[in-house]
Amino acid sequence: MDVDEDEEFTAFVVDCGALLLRTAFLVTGDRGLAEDLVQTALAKAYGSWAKVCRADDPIAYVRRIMVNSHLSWRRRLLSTEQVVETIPDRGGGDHQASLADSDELRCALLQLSPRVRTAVVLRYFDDLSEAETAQLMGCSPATVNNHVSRGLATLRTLLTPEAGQVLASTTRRLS
Amino acid sequence: MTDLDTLLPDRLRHLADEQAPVPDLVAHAASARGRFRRQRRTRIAVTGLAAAVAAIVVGVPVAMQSLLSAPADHVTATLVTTTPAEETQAEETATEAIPPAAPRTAETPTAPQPAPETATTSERTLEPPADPAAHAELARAAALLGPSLAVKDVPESDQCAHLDSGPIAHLMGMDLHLYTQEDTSLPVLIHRTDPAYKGKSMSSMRGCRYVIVPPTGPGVPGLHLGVSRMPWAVDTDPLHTCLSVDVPSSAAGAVLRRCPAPGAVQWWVQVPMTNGDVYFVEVTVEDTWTGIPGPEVVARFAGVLALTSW
Repeated sequence: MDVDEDEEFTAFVVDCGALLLRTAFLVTGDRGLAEDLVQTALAKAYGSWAKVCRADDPIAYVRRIMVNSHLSWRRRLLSTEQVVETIPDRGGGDHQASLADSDELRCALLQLSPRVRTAVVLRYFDDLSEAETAQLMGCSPATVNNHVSRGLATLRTLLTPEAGQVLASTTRRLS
Repeated sequence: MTDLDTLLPDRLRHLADEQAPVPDLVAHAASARGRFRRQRRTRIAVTGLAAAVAAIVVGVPVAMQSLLSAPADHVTATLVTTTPAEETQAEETATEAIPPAAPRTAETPTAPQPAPETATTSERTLEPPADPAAHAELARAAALLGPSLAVKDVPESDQCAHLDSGPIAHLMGMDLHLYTQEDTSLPVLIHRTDPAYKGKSMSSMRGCRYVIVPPTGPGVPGLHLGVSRMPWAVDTDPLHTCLSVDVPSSAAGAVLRRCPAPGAVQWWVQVPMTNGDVYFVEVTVEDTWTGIPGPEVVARFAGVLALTSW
């Protein structure tokens, strides 16, 4: 890859990296995982940068790479789950607890399955249509609709004030 | 549309604004490039390693098997015959040994002339491929041939009096005709293998041939029979791939050769005649032949020739 393409790639990351990171954070629910997911997607995009450049919407292309990586990564993670004796400390817990309102939504999102969470984030955060979300996730619009309906129903249940307290304590304990 | 439907986009944006990481994006791009290059190097290394392992896993047993299964004498013969210096020497020997193919008439002196030893000398210095089945077949054919080689001299080509005169013998349900043939497997074989015979026709070699009836019609699938008179012994095996044996209890100097050929086995019986010429009984048994085994075909054909009135 030549210098021009490197510069083009850097410009793309500077322009769109923040947006991708925000989506990544919402689908992963973790800052570190979000950064790793975005970097994974960007590394893949860099490998086929000529194709990404030629695409009608390069951001959609990279976002698709990111979503696919996330879902397959999730699958890999689930299939290689490791049992540990003690759960490691994670930074930012107290800070997150202080942001009660945001944290409540983050915790509620984490209760959704990865595919359902991804569908909800793409529809309501990235503002994609059902068809666009379906294309990005590699499934049918009906499936997306199903995911979103189930996700909203779960969130509606979890985001009631009573459920919120239980949810926050459960999530804090888990993390 | 419910409250959550309308509130969720704003709440998600709020959450992302508050908690999403804000890294140095230029550094992020550089990291992504570095990660890609690292992954590519790893991929190449893994692929190369896998290819090397596959080559070793597959190649070593195959090489070992081929080395172990190849008989030592076969390897020696192959190596010797493919040495250019040896080939050149063999060609020179053959050329010197074979006299020019000057036309000979029927008045050729009848005094026996010893047939020049040609490649039989080199043949004896090179071991043929060791094949127990082939050796057994050769021994069986030689044993069957012994009593049946008391053959009269094969006539000269211009004495092939029975040309187109109908069958003169019967063998395994097939009629045999005697006729002169200009372009048959023997000259073709000799032309191909011996430069001394390039461009010479069958008539210059003065042969008569038996063929399966009818001479102009279809042959018998998988079997070719012939007998050829030659003014001198020729090397039918310049590549030294044949097994040969002196035929016991037969006319002095008769030699039987069994030569592997692509898709067939060729049998050659070289028999000296009283005037010093030789004749060859030729039997080619292709793999598609389903009749009696090759050694018996050779013996029966030679037996029929012995009883034939020329």
